[in-house]
This record gives sequence, structure tokens and C-alpha cells, in this order.
Amino acid sequence: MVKAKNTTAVTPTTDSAEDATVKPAEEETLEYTNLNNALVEMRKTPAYKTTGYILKSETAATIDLNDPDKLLNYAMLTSKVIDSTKELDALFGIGKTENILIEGKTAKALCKIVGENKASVIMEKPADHNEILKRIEAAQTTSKATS
Amino acid sequence: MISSPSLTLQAAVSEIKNFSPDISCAFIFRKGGEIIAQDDTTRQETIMSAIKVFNKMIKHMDAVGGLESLTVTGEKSQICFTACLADYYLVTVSSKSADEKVVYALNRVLIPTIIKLLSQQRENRETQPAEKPQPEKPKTGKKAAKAEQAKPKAEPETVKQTIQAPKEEVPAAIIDSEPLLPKPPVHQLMVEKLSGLFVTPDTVRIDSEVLASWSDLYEGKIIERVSIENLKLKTVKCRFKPIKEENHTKGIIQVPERIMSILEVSKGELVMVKPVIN
Repeated sequence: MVKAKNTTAVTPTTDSAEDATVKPAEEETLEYTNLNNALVEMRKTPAYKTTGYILKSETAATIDLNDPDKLLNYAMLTSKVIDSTKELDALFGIGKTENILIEGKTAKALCKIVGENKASVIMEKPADHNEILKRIEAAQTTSKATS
Repeated sequence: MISSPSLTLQAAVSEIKNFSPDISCAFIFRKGGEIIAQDDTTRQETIMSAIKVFNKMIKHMDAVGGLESLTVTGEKSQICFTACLADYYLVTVSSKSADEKVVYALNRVLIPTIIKLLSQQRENRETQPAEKPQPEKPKTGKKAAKAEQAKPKAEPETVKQTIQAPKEEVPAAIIDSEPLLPKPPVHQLMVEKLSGLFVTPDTVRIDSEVLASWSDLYEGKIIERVSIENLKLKTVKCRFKPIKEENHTKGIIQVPERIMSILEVSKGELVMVKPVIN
């Protein structure tokens, strides 16, 4: 199995919950790290049936895909869909986007927006996207509690 | 005039909102941008804009093997695009409190099934006339020659005519529409008997809100008649006026006795009403 992994400018933070002077940028980094850890864990667990993920923040990106040839396709798909949700909100007043589920004929993609971070998990068709969503939300909650 | 399949879809889309009040918007469109059916409240411009947004997204769906469904969950509500058949897409906007199972059943089962059935029905209609003449294949040998002699000369022409005639009746597509005008909205209204000395026997009375929505939709177009269809698919076209009483019950149509008897409906029954657009 070929894996493409590209991580840039991710600095894990050691700030504790007691630290009252956490800077927003550090909070974001912590959130990013927690999300990435959750995604890495899901990739390692076969039960989640994930085939890859793309995690993007304003300053960093991590990509891990079984099929690196599809990187551009997945990146385009998820970014276009995430960008389009603002227009859908303007039209139908759905509010700030929480998550997007794309169910295709051969695969599924779940996009979750956590602050400035955009996580897109690609999975097999029979995968339980609700479980993946729960795991991501748990990572989000951990980040909030820590900060 | 729209063909009966789209009337069915229009009715189905209207029913979605009755079935689940948490669904605030529902419409069906084709990839090219043609609106097949829509609910009564969502504006045409909003739908067209949504189709544009959707067309931008659909270009990249090859990565997942083509779209089956796309659900965007927001803080307040969620929007779901579902591929029903070929290039037919259903869109629903539902509140977050909506019953997931109900929304799933409507989006992924009910409406796609209706569209598939309509499509099959159409295919059957198209294939039937071609299949009919098959048993009358020319016989070979002496028997065939005798049969040929026995047949009157004009017969082949009449066979041709019977084959061609149904083709004219078959709609060209599942849903034919005039490209410039939006589809006539279909309203399900309850029949109320209209009686009195000054009642015009060929004129029904309709809720002024419904009439206002028509005039908004067909700005500048004069609508003179409405088409009323009962549950047995019997249709009557007649003139209409707004209901006079200010505090009348919503969702009703006041029908004179004469039209009621033609339509074979009685008080309290539901009818489908749509404007006749020339």
C-alpha cells in the first residue's frame, strides 16, 4: 500500500488547561494536532475503513492517502464543496457549516470544519461515517477542554 | 401544459412538506438546470442559484465514482442533494430537529422510486407500440402467399397508422416543459361547496394567497383558467376568482355544484389545482 504523507509547519504544543494566556494561534495549533492525532488513529484502525484524509489549516496541511494519484481529485472535490457551502447558507440560511457528507458510488468523503481547520476523511462505501464524525468531534472537544 | 408524470412529481414534492413539516424546501431538477418540480414556497431564483452552486460541485464528483448524495449540515438546518435517476436530482432543506429516518426515507427511497417508476412507465409506453406488430410477422411459404392475397391492400397502411398514433401521445421526455416559463405549481386544496344566488356556475374561488403566488411566479402573464384534477385523475378546466370572505379556511377551493358533479367530488375531498398557462 502506497502512502503519501506530507506534513508542514505543525508544532505540537504542551500548553496545559491551567495556562490562562494561551494565544489564539497556539490554540489553533493544538486543535490541529489533536485532529491530526485522531485522524492518524483512525487510519491505523481498520474498523473505520478510511482510505485517506486531508487536514488543512491556514498554515499547515497533512495528507495521507492510500492512492496518492487521487490527491488532486480529492483535494479539488473537498475544497470546492466546502467553498460552495457559504453560497448554500446565503440561499437557504442553513447556518455555519458543521460538516459535509459526500456519498459517491464507490467511496464516501466526510468534511468537518473545526475552527480554521478543515478535515476531509475519505472512506470506503460501507464505512460508518457517524463513527468517524464522533471521533473527530471528540478530538475537537479535547482541544477545547485543553485550551 | 406539463405532462402527467411531472404532475405526479409536483404532487409528491408538495406532499413532502405535508409529510414532514421540518422540511422547509424541496425541489427536483435536471443537471442541465431544468426544474422538474418544486414546492410552493421556495422562490424560482433561489432554486436556480442552488442549481448553479450544485453544478460547480458536481464537476469534481468523479473522485468518489459519481454522486449519490451530498448532505451539508449547518448550525440551523441541513441541505441534501440526492441523485435519483440519470440526471435527476432531489434537493431538500430540513431543520436539524427533523427525524433522520423520515428525511432519509423521502430523499433516498420514496422520491427516487417515484422517478424510477415514472421512467419505467414511459419506457413501457415507448416500447409497447413497437412490440405489438411483432406477432404479425410475415409468414413464409404457401400459407403466407394465401394470407397476403386474402388481406385487403389498404391494411398495411392502417397498421402503420396504429403504430404511429401512440407515439404522438407519448411525451418526448419524462417531463416536458416550456423552457421560458416556470412549471405551473400544483396546489392540493380541499373542496368546499359554493352555493348562492349570484354564483357563476363555471367559476371556482381560490385562496387569494395562492393566486398571489401565481402572479408572482408568472409576472406579467394573465392567467384566466385553472385546471382542477380529482384523485381519479379526472380534470376540469374553468375560470376562477379569489375567495371573497376574508377569514376563510386556508387551503380550500370553493367549487360550484355543477363543477363538483362534473369532477365527481364532494365537500372535503382533495383536488390538485394548477394555473393554465397559455
